[in-house]
Amino acid sequence: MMIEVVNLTKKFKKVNAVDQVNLYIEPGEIVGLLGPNGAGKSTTIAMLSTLIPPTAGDVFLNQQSIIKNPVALRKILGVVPQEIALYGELTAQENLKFFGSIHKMPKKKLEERMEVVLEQIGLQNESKKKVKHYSGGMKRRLNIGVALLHEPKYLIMDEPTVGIDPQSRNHILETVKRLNEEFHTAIIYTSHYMEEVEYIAKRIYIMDKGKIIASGTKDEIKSILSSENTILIKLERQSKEFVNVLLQEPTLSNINVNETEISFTVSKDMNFLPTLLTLSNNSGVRLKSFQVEEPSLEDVFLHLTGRALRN
Amino acid sequence: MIDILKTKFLLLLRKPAGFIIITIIICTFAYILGLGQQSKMPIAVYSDLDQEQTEAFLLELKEIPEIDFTLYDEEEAIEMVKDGNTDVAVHLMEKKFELIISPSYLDAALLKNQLNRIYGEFTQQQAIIEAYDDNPSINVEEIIESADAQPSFQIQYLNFSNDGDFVWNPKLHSLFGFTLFMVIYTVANGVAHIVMERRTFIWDRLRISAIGKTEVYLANVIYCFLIGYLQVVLVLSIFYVGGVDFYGGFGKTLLVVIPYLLCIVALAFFIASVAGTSGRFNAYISVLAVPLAMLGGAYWPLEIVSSKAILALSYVSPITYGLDLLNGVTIHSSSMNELVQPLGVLLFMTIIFMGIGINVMEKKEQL
Repeated sequence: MMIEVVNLTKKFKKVNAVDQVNLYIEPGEIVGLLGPNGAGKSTTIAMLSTLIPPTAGDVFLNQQSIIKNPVALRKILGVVPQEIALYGELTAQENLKFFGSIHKMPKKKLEERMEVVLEQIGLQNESKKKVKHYSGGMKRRLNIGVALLHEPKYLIMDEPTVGIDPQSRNHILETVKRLNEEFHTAIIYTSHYMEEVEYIAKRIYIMDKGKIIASGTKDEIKSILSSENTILIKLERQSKEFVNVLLQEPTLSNINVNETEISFTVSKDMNFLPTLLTLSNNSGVRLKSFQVEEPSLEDVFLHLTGRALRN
Repeated sequence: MIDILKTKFLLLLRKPAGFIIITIIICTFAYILGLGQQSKMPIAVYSDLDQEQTEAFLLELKEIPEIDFTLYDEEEAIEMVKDGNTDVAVHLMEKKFELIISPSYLDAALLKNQLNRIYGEFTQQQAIIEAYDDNPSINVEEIIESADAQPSFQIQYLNFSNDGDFVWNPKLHSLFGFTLFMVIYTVANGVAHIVMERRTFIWDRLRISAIGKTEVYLANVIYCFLIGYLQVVLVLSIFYVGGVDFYGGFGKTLLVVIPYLLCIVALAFFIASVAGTSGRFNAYISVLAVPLAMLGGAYWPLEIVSSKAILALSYVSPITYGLDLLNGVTIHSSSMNELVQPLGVLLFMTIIFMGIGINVMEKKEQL
């Protein structure tokens, strides 16, 4: 049961929020949807979740259009929204019971699933507390738990770690990985945190301004920058003269200066170290360290759009 | 649908402050404006009857609880009305009475009705006493009771509003007016849940669940209606038990308030669809409810309003029709035919507001 998105487009007045997006999700895989705020990720997900109809294009489940027949997908789909979609005045148990009941789950089955889910999200000891008294991380975990009650085969997670502490963030990432490994739940994970997507997703789609600008496995995407190396050097002291010399060097690009740390990209074919040593000697500044860095998804995004992911 | 309703009521139980506060406000205002502050209204009485008859008559008149009848000379009584010390003077005569009324007095028809009843009973009593004057063993009260139990004629006053007089009971008016006005806020609180749920994705969770969209809307409509109805029943029952006279129409008031509440639910849905956010929704409700109450006659009866513009605008307020229905089944003893018009207008408004409201909500969801 594969989900295929074909030429999905959503226009709001004259703005193309999502423009001719094509992607697919196979059973049991984690797919990352990476992009800055306003890239069109949430709109894509809303269409994928059958919440809003596309202006053009379609989504297929086993080659059946879910725009025409959304019920088939809804049965096997869980959605974790970006917002905390819970009743603060109710306890975790009461929330789970309500959101389970709207999936028309038999009472006994629902009670069993509630216990399993509470264990999965690590809230079994806090289940009788009102949600409004939970920390941000606990609310996020329950937000995920609610989407897991009816054992969905596909789980869509829209920025599930926004605004929480690193510990809760790790807990959520581990939960996502465990869900995929133990229960083979296919997960579509959207985020603007590239390290999260890089950590959990096998395949990645990078979105910007409503379009998919790159896709593939992590290595495939990073190979976009395979012709270049990112080099990070540390100086003994700050030197404006040395920076000026680097800026005038035609073989370097993407030069970033942060006090004594300087990063730049240079062609992989070029051995730049001797040149660098000569330039530093001429400027009268000593190099403390020299490091060749692997390109990150952030670098790829910067390369493709000329902007940083979190701008 | 039942699960949604259960959860909504559970949420109300967890946070009942709004509901309780509004209920207390209705009771307090209805009491202060209609019941509590009213001391007995003074009415001057002067009489052409002999002293014995006059005293007997005064005893009967003092049975009317809200009015303080005091005997004066004719000149004194008329002077009191002229000076505005009393609104009414009653002139007791053989077999009839006269009312001298100041132009500002609104309850003339009601008072006339009460006096007619007492006059009728009193003259009947006097006639029986005179007829059985020679037989002291006859108990007049027994004869009257048996005559009441088996009357020769059954006379039913279905309506006394056709005589052109304006009939008004300030107690009931303030009770009905404030109930219909304040219940708007209770219903709006229920609808505000929907606005909040739509903003926080809870609504979307419902939409992609196994429950149909119609069920979701229906559950919310029923919930909003029920909390409003519960409040109205509670408030009216408190005053009914507290001794307010509903003119035998208490049960009917609980029925005729249903179309009004449905209309308010529909209106709140419409406003929610336009507002989009909780903040805007609350602002729109606050801005709309007071004018609707003023135009609908919740604070004062529309019959005393002379402005044609305000009277014309009153037709757009559901409170106008809600009050028509409530007054109709109580003080006016209206027939079903007379209730059809306000009933029809309320149902029409319900369909229009609900239709537009749900359509706009759905359209906005698609965006």
